[in-house]
Amino acid sequence: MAGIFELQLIGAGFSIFMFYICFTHYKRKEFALGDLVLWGVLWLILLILVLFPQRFDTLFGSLHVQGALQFIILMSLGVLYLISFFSYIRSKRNELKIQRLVTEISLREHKTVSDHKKSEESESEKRKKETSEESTSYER
Amino acid sequence: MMKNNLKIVAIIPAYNEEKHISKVISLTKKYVDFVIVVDDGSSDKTFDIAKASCEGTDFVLRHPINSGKGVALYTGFILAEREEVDVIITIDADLQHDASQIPEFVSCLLETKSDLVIGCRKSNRKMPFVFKFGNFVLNTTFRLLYGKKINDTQSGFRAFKSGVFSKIAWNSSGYVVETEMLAAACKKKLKISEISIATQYHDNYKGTTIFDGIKIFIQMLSWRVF
Repeated sequence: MAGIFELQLIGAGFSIFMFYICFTHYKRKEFALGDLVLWGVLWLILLILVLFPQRFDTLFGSLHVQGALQFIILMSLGVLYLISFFSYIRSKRNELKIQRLVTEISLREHKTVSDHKKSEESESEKRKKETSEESTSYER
Repeated sequence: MMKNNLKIVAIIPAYNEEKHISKVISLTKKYVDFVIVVDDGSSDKTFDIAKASCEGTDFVLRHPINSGKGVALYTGFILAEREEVDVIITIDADLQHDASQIPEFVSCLLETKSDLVIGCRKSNRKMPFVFKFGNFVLNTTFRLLYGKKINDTQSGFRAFKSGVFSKIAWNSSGYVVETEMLAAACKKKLKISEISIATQYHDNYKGTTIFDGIKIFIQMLSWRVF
């Protein structure tokens, strides 16, 4: 019983600490309010499960899960897989966007340099023409 | 030089090839109308040397970050299509390929009326064993999945007819691009021909690695299924 109490203490402490981390991210404007509420609810659910596991015995029984711990482990695995999947999709999408952006930047940079070169060349041709006209007028 | 009034361009994707890029450009320019060098974010002097080796008609582009051969080729093809060329040659910047074989590519493209011509490297003693084995596995897998026998699916020395790019435009960034092009070409039922090419290996440790080979293998399966 003492062992379970210590585990509950650690679990509760961890949930509260993680909620605090979420709140810090929210204050730094790295999390939107929606993100804070979502993760806050998840950590709150974990806190309740850890502190009052017996209250959910009927629910776990109907799910054929042995207890709160097994339920938490299974749910956590499911959530991890889900997060990994969506992270993977997002990173593939971003990778492709970056590739297209790199192409666009290099083509635009080249165009800017070429346009600059062309305008420099036309400027120098203009100057040459003016110089030759001046020298011609002097000769007259 | 416009062979049979064709406008021919060579795309040279380059990454840290300051040792070879100048020679590759000068050798390639003898057989094409102009070159497009795409420096893929090199940390050495590849870009500067390429710019110095090129003329006004050539293009030298630079990626702000190293993004992979696939992206460099993509950039080159976008520009080539804008220039309305008839034939696009892709050639590696590490002096592995013999540019004097470019006319053979163009002839094969015209005579066989192919959409794409691949230069197949002759297996010789100088070819590192890892490359030989890897190529064998990948070529065999490609044949099983796509029903097309290609003797060198990983060769970067190729010729493309204009308009092919839009049919096979790829998303791969690394060396997988060589295979993705072929997979897309097979799916779109484009005509693919091969010619034999000579190769020189200057650097055993550059280019496709075993991990790239594994990636290509997995990707081939996913392209076939999806």
